[in-house]
Amino acid sequence: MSEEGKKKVETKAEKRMGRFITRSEAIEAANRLRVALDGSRYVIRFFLTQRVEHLILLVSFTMLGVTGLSQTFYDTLIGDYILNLFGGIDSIRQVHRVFSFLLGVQSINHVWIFLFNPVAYRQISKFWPNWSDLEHFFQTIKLNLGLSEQRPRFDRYTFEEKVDYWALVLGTVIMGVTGLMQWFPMLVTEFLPGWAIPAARALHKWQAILTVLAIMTWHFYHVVLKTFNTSIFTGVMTIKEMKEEHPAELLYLERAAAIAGSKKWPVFINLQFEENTPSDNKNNPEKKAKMQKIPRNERQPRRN
Amino acid sequence: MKIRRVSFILLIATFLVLICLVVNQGLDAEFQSVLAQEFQTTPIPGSESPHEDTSKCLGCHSDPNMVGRFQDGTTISLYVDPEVPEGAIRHLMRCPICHQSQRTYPHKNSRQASCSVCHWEKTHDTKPEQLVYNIYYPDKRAMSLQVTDSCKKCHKEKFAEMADSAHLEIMSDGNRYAPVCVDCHSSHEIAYGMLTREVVAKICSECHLAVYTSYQSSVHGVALEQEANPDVPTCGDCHGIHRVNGPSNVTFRANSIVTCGNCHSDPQRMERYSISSDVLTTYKEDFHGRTVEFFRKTEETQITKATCYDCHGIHNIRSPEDDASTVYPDNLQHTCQQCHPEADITFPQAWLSHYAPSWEKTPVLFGVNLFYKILIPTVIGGFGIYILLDARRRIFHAAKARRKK
Repeated sequence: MSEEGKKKVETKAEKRMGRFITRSEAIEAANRLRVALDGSRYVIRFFLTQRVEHLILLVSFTMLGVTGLSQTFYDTLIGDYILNLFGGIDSIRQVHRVFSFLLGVQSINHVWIFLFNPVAYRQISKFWPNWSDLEHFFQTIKLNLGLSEQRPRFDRYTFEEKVDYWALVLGTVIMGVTGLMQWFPMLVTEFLPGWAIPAARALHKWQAILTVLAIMTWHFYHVVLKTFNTSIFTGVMTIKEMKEEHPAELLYLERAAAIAGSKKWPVFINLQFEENTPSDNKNNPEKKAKMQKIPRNERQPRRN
Repeated sequence: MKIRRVSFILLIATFLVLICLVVNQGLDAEFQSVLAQEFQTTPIPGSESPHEDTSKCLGCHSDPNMVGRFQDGTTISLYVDPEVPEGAIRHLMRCPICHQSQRTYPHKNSRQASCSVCHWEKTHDTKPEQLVYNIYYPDKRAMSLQVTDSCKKCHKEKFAEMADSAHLEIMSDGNRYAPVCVDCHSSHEIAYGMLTREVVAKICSECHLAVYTSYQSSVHGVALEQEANPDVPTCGDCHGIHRVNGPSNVTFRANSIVTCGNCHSDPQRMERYSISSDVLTTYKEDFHGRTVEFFRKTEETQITKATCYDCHGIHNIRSPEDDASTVYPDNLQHTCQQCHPEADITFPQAWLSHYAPSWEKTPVLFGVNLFYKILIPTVIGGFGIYILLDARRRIFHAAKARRKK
C-alpha cells in the first residue's frame, strides 16, 4: 500500500461514529441476513415487490424504446422492419401508448411503495447523492488509473447505481410529460403556445435516445459485464458479493442484527470500519508483522 | 465466469448489428413521378409515301358538301381538308390505318338508301346541296370509339398507360363520353409539338370546366396564363397525361407529396420565386408527413393524414401571402379544423410552417435540439471513458491474479 493510501484510510465521510437504530430496523437487518441450506451466507437485497417492479420496468422500457425509436428512425432498414412487424404506424403508436401507460402505473407504484412500505421508506435516505459519493468517485478514478490501491467502501447504493437511478427517473419524468403533451395536443394548446408541441416532440425524441443509450452502456456494463449481478431478479446477494460491492451495508446489517435481541431501545451501534483486522493486513506485511507480535487475545478490536 | 463472457460477446454483437442497421439507409425513396411523359410516336411500319393512298380517299372526301348521317339521325361532315396544317402528322398516316372498316371501297356496311346518293346525276340535274350518306354506326361517339381503337397498333405504350387511368375506369363504368385519344388529340389534326401546356389545360377544361376556372385564379394558373411560365404545373403535370388519376385513386393521394415535392424541393427552381425548398423534408419531420411517408412506402390503402393539398388547396392553391389562401395565418385555424374540429386559435402554431427550427423563429425548439446535441455525446462519452477505465483495471487485475496463481 502506498503512503497516501495508508494515511487516507479513514476519510471524513467514513468517520461516522455510528447511529441509534430502532427495534424494527434491527429485526429487519436480522431478517435480511440468511443462511442457505449448504451453509453459505447471503443477504436479501430486494423484496418481492421491488423485483416485480423492476421486471415491469424492464419490459415496458424495452417495448417503449423499440416502438418509439422505430418511429423516429422509420426510414432505416431496421426501423422499417419493426414498423411493419407491428403492423404499421398506427398500430405501433397504440402499442407505444399501452406500454407508456404501464410505465406510468409502475412509476406511481414506485412512489407509493416508498411512502407506504416501511422497509422501502427507510431506504429513501440511501438514494440521495451526497458528498461521500463524490469522494468515492474520485477514489474510483484514482484506482482505475492505477494511482491508488484503495478501494472505496460503498453503502447500499454505489454512486454508479445512483447515477443510473436518477438518470432513469429524470428521463422517465421528461418522457412522460412530453409524451402526454403529444397525446393530448388540444388540451395542451389551450394553456400553452402552439410551439410547445413540436418542442415536446423534440425533447421526447432526444431524451429517448439519451436514456436508451445510457441504459445500454452504463447500466448494462455495471450489472452484466462488470459483475453479473442477478440480485434484482433473485433478490439476494452472497456475502462475498456484498463484501465486494456494498461492504458498508454489510457492516451495518451484521452489527444491527447482532443487537437485535437487546431489551432497551434504541441502541447505538458502531459503524466504523476497523483497520487492524486480519483481512486488512493481508497486503501489508509490515503491519502484519507488527500485529503478530501482539498476543492474539490482545488484538482488539475485532469485528462482531 | 462463462456467463459474463457470453453476455459480453452478445452485447457487443448487438451493438454492432444495431449500429450497422441504423446507419444503413437500405430504403431509397422511390420517386414515382407522375409528370407527363415525353410525347412519343413509333414510326408506322412499312409506310411509303402516303399521297397515292390518301389521294384515293380524297377523291370523294374532298367534296365539302359530303355529309354523313348516323343511325340516330345526327349528321357529320365527311369533308377532309386536303391542306395539311403546319405540324400535323396526318400526312404520315394513311386513312385506312385508322379507319379500318373503310379500308376497301365500297366501304363495308355502307349500303346506301338508293344508288342516286352517289350517282346523283341519275335523278338530279344539278348536284344537290348536300350528299347525305348513311353511316352504319349508332352515333358519332360509337364511330369515334371504334376508330380510336386503332391508335393501339402503333402507340401500345400509351394504351398501357391509359389502362391505369381514371378515364378508362369511367368508360368501363358505362360513360361513353369518357375521353379517348381523339378527344384530346383531335382526329385529323393530330400534331406533334402543337399540344403546348396551355392548350392541354384548355382541352381538359372542356370536361373539367369548374376545376379549370378554379385553377385559373390559382398562383400556378395565373403564372401559366400570364407568362406561359414553364415552371408551374398544369393538369398533366400533377394528374398525368395518359395515366390520368385523381384523388379517388389510392396511390395518387399517397404520391401527391412527391408530385408537389418534385418541384418544391428543387432548389434551383424554387430560388427563382424565393420559396423554401425544404418543404418536403420539414413536412416529413413532423407528424403528418412521417405517417404519410410511411404509408406511401408500404402502399397502405388509406391515408388519413394531411397531404399537401389538404392544407394548401387543390386547384385553388394560392401563395401563403395571399389573404384568400387556405394557409394564410388567419385562415389556418379553419384549415386545421377540417380534421381537428376542436382546434383552438393557438393550435396552428404547433405546425412550424415548413420552417426548420431556428433561433429567431422557434428559440425553445432550437435550444432543445442544440442542448441535446451537446449533452448526449458528452454524457455518453463520459460514460464510455469511465467504463473503459474501469474495465481496463478489472481485466488487468484479473490477468495479474491469474498469472500469480
